[in-house]
Amino acid sequence: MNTPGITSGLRRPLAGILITFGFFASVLGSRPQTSPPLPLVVYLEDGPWVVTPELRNETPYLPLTDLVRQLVLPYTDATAAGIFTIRGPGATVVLERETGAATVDGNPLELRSPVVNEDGRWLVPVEFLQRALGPATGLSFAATAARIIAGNVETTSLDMEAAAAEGFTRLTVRLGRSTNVRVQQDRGQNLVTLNIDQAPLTPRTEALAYRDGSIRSVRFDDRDGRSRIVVETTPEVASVRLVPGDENRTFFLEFVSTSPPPVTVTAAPLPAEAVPAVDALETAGTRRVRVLVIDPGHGGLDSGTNAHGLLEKDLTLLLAQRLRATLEERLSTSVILTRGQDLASSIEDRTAVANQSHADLLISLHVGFSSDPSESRGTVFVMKDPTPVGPQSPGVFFIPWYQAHQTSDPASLRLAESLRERLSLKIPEWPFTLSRAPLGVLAGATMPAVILELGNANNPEDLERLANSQFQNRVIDGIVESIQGLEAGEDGT
Amino acid sequence: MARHVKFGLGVAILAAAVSIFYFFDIAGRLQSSDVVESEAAFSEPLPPLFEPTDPPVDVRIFFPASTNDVLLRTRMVTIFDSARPEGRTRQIIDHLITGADDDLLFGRLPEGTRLDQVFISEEGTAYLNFNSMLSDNHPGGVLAEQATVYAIVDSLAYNIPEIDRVKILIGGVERETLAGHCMLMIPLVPDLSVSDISPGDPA
Repeated sequence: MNTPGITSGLRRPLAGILITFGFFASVLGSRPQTSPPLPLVVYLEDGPWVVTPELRNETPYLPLTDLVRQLVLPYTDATAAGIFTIRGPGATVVLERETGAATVDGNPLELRSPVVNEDGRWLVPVEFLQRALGPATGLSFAATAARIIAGNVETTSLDMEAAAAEGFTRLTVRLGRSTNVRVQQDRGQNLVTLNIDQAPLTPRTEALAYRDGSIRSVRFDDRDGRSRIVVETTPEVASVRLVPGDENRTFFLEFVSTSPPPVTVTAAPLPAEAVPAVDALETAGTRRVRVLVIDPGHGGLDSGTNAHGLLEKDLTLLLAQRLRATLEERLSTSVILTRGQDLASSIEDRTAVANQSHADLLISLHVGFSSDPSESRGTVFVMKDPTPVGPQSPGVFFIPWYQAHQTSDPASLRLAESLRERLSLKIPEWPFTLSRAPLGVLAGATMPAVILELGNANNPEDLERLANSQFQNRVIDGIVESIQGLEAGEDGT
Repeated sequence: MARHVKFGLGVAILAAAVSIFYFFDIAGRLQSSDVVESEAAFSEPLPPLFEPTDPPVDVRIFFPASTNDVLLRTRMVTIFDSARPEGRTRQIIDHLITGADDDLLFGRLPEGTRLDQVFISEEGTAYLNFNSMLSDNHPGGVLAEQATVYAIVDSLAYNIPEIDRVKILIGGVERETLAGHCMLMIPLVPDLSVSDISPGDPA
């Protein structure tokens, strides 16, 4: 090789340096970037056992002797013979040091990672617990990356959901049973911890993929056997409120941000580069729909209308999911569904989702039914009081829950009228009417709320339309444009 | 045939015979227990809808409309003017269950609907306990549900002076809605605006 500009005397030392550098680079670069394993909590009938797994070939291993002692299983560690025997009530497990093989009642146990014996210490992969000690104890073991739960331990479900509202962010925590909780706030670390007096919990998700101006991260943590939700906040969070509900089964953790300083005409103008970038609609002061709740009608055993095999509950859920995706993409609105799958939900719970989220709008989606199969139309419903409303006595501040809709009744009418207009333009083949009815889901809603009923399930043509994705796009466009119109103040307010 | 095979076959035939006997015996018991239960549930004799001496009287029944121009279509029918408002209530609900003669214009309550109990409070609230068919066999849809609910409420409150509002129960319990839309949690007052008459029309 002839390298121009480098003399022959320099070639060898340079090559040596390069080879040496390359060697170290390759060795260092090839080392796996493994972090030390986190503690694993094993929930047993007598309480949690916290153990830090040891990594072997990037697989977490547990110390076998400690494990069988925790499970109170009789065992024999014949060190000289290199055999470890566990005599459980359900089966006998034998491990051989020489081969690393394991048998359960004489049947060979095939493990993805072998049993390890190091200096007389037996180490077993996590799956050994399920596949060998499960039959030995007669218990099942549910394992995740963070915890293992024995089958005879009672668990409690945990569901977390975060949503932004005007001036604060709300973290909704739903537990499977009534529980006491405590909140700790560490302002220096910008951490808020919700300690939950219940274990083990089975979280639907270990962490929330949610982030906004108040919350940076939300994760569940029980690595020490005690349940808690850890929220990393932004420095803007001034205070945290805890609101219990549903007999201490649901908790609302509200992160209240410091309000931005009001801008007045007398204030010294900020230099242009110092003005923070904000949403143009917010600057204009016209953006009003921050949180929208969509209620896919019916669900679970309640199928709604059923004609020609098309169930109303499936159609409303599909439409709601597609509408949510479009709204989030086109309007950057936080959209919450009252149900995300085929689940039953009470009318009261559906309204509660909207009220507790401080939603700006609630739209409940339904499919109509008429005994006249030739009829074809859409209807937007607003609430009609089912009982006459008497004059409010002076000094009375409480109203029945079913009259909560009254405060936003004019706004509900504007929303309904806007939807009717836009959908009439988008779907000229359907006459859209505005109607009032005493509707359960709207009665207790404290925000503008409507039911949008699409088509006639008794009309085969309507069903064909509703099942067509192009037609669904027109419905979705009509709803989105209607909300855009409201945000822009096109309703005259 | 070997002896042990014969013996085995005999045992199998005997077992099959015993199984068949028990199957029919259990099925018969289940059937008879159904009858006993249903008889027990309705063993209390219901008071008559009206007495032979009660005079006939015309009432306006609000039927669910079969066409989309109006929600409720009214028709005059004759019932017997029982002294007990519960008797008049039952007669009116019976008309809503059987429907009007002209099916093209008039609908009815869902198939299989039965009114099990009636109680009218002194304050004028009628508590009607229907069987689950009122809800289970409802086709759905807000307008159809509104029509069903107000066919009941309007027909009773319009014709029976002792009734101001109606509380609908299904299967003896309170329900949030009839079929997912119209609220049933509170007693409902009549709403004649959804019918083909204006509130000022005489009965």
